[in-house]
Amino acid sequence: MLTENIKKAPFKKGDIIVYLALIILVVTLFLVTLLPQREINGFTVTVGGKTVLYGDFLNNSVKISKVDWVEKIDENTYKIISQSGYNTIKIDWQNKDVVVIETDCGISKECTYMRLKNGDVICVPHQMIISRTGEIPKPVVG
Amino acid sequence: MLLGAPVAVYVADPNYILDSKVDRNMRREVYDLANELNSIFSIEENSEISAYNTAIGEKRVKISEHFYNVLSLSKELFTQSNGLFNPQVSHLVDLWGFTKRHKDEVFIKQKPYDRDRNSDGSFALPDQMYVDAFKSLTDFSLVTLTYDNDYFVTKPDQKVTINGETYYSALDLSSVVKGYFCDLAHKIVQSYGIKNYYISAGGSSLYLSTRPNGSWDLQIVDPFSKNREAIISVPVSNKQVAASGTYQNYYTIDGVNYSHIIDPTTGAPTKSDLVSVTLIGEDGAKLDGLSTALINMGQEKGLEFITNYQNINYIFINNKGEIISDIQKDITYLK
Repeated sequence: MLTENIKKAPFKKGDIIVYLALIILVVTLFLVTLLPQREINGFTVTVGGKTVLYGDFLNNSVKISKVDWVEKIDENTYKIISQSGYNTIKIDWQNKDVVVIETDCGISKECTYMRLKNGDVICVPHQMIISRTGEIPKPVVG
Repeated sequence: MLLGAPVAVYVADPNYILDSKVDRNMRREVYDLANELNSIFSIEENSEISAYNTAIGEKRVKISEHFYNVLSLSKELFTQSNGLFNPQVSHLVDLWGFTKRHKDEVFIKQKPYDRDRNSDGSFALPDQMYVDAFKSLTDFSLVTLTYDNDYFVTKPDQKVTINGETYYSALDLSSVVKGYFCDLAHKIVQSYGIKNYYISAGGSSLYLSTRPNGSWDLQIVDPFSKNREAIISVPVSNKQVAASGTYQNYYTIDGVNYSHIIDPTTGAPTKSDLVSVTLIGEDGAKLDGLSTALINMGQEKGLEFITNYQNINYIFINNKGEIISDIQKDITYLK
């Protein structure tokens, strides 16, 4: 019966347009990933809207802008301290990614499931956001 | 890294492809240069400068071209500044607690003059006997350079014996090397046809080329800010920049700040009224050394001295927070 139904149901004009649109979408997505493009240069960590740390993927370096809010654990791991608690972040320099590996933001700890590669990493209770940057930081001397 | 400080190259050209073959090759060459300079100037066991520093008695030592170039410039700066730029203060830097080993997680006393480190990172004042002894080893004019189908430096027989231990003169060229690195690194970047970029070596020496829409907006750190916030900015393009400051590395005892910048005339951390000197010009290594010398000169003598250099712009910040500059009209105040 199924075979009969399939034989009986011809392609309609609308179906062709939908399939064509899908093919174009898939090809476009494929091409977009193949073409050389600007990757993210780095990331910023903000707490309550204030930038506490800049990460630079090009030069594998970190600049701490609020020293009382950041504790360096090692070259790849930093503890971000807010008024309500902390988030410990780990940087994967090779893959240009950042994740939260430890936090006291509550039972669900949703921020630990996020990755910078997929978008901003947000911890709502601690008002911490890790965002990708494509901008080059201003040159600072001193 | 260069002498323990991060090195960075930033390219602003919108058509430039990050992580492309050109980008990777350029960065590899720049970082190879940093590694090469580390192997020469880092005060570690196998470096060229370490070999020089541990040589005993009058000794003619074969050195690399980079070492020769930096020493040659250092001698020029030593003369021009009447000794207020002096790289032969290595023992004094260590005596006052400003070498790498003093920053280790756990400080282990190794030398007879070492004191315990306090919880705030400070050290008790050293014995004046050692200050005087090490000051006697700072006559850099006795170091001679020769070129004889190769590069040589003759280390003079300068020594002092104190409490049964003999110390020989030693060099620390870190106050020139970052600028020297920027001089060479920008040529590497340019050789790849890259136009809009800047290079930073430890944040105290930079080379700024151009931006697509004009100049870079150079931010100068507020020496009184704990968070290294910028206090002013100034447009810069196609120039080397170097800065020295007493706020960069210091500790406090009884309300007095002791900075890593040693005044060669006293053998002690500088008591200058200048807390920050930023110079903008053509020659990064020279600017790097001069910025240190100017801190030691202080505001009055420093102004008199720097105005002799027509192609160098200066921005001084004194201990009252006053900003003195020959490019005042170009400065934007951020606070």
